[in-house]
Amino acid sequence: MSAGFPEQFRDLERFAATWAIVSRHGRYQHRVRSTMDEVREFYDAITSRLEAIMKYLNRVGLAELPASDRTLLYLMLAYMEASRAVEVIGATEVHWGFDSSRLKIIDGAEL
Amino acid sequence: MAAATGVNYEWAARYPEVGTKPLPVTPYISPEYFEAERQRVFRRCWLIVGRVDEAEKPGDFFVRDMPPLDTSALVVRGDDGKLRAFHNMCKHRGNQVAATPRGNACEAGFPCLFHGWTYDTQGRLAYVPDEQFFVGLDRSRTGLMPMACEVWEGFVFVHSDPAPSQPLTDFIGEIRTTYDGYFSTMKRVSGYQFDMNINWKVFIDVSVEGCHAAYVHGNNIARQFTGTENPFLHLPSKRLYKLHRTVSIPADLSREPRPLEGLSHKYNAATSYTPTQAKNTAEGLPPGVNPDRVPSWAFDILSLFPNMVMLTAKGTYITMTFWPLSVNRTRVDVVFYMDPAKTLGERVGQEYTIAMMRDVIREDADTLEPVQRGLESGALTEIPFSDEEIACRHFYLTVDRMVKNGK
Repeated sequence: MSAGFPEQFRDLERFAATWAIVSRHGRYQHRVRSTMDEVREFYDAITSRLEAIMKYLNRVGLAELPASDRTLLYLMLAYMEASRAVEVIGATEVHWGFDSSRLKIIDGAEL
Repeated sequence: MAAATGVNYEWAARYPEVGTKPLPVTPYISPEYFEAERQRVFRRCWLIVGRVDEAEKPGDFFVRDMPPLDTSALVVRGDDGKLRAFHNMCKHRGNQVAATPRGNACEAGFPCLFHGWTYDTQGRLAYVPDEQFFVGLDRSRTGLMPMACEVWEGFVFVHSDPAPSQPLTDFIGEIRTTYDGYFSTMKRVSGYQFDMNINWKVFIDVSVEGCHAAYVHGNNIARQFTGTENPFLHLPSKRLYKLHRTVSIPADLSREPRPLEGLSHKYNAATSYTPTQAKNTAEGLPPGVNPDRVPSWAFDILSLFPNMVMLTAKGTYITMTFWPLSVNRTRVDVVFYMDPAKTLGERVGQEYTIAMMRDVIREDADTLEPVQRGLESGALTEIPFSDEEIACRHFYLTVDRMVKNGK
């Protein structure tokens, strides 16, 4: 799905096939279907480059996002899900949560 | 905060009419009570069905189901620029006239797909196939059936009575000027819906108290709010109006921010749901948001009577609409609104809030179906709401007053 990837973050491209998911609900589903080890591996890899990625993405306005940065942006959106699992919940899913298959997604603005 | 040995009923003292007595379970489980709510609450109140920007241009329309009224509202901006609401129902044999949830009717109007009767964007009957065979049909008197439609702060309200005795401004009451402009800058970014096996009031109850947070959200976000000073999340502001109510949720800003919160803060991406010092002031907010100017503030809950709850924060708000399907079935409509992100950093930070609140709402929802089963067991006859739960009590009594007195 990668339409290009910024050269300086090539080391993160290995996550593109699994975590760079376009839909919001899809990113959440991927979190809960992953093992905690998988989530943590992704979380740790992004966390170690976090400042650099944010600086890089912030260099342009949202409207001017080049197509070649899109995959990296989706990785960052998925990182929000991963960080909830690692930093807050300590598991890939909340302990007592309403069955997410009962949610009917009306819209989830992709960007 | 009341000390354990001091006055235990500070809120009841402030709102003596709300009282402290346990309240009967009946309104949550009785089919007769539910029928009375449908007739005396839902048919006599202004109900929010959407935002004005869902029907911005002439001809734009959207359809919203209103289950307790047994109807769907068709909200349409006429070619004259005026916003109107109708029953989405053909005057011939009752079929829906708008078959899609949204669109623009300037070109085609609303052609009924049953026998082709067609209405214009002002709801007037414009075309009837085989018209000469309808004896005595007066097209000028056969438009779509209107409902009252008014706007407050960009929210589209509909009333089942086309000429309601209570104007919307009266219905909004004490808060009608206090949210001036707050909602207008934010745009819809996400929405989902789910059906639950609960009475509609059960979810509103959990939304207007904080004492559940340490338990329901204990493994999740509770620590953003509770802290050692306020372990049971007492709410420092509770305002009870004639129909509506607000409570303010404090943040625990003494806590070390998690790595991602720190980052969000740095890039100015957090909302005040995700507490950071930068966002947790009342600066720039109208007087209705954080009305008591709680110093370390996270967000407010506005319970807009009867069936909407809004979580109003800085840079974002969420609406939750509770549409009863029956005494113990409820459709929950959740919509997130945010100030449009200017940078990718902001956009990324917003995603955190959306993910977080989805998990929080799912924790609340997961708790409430067992609650409803408990209430229905018949073993429990009364609910001993605490002083901290005074907003639940106030909501309960407001419904009950309308059911019994009709106002």
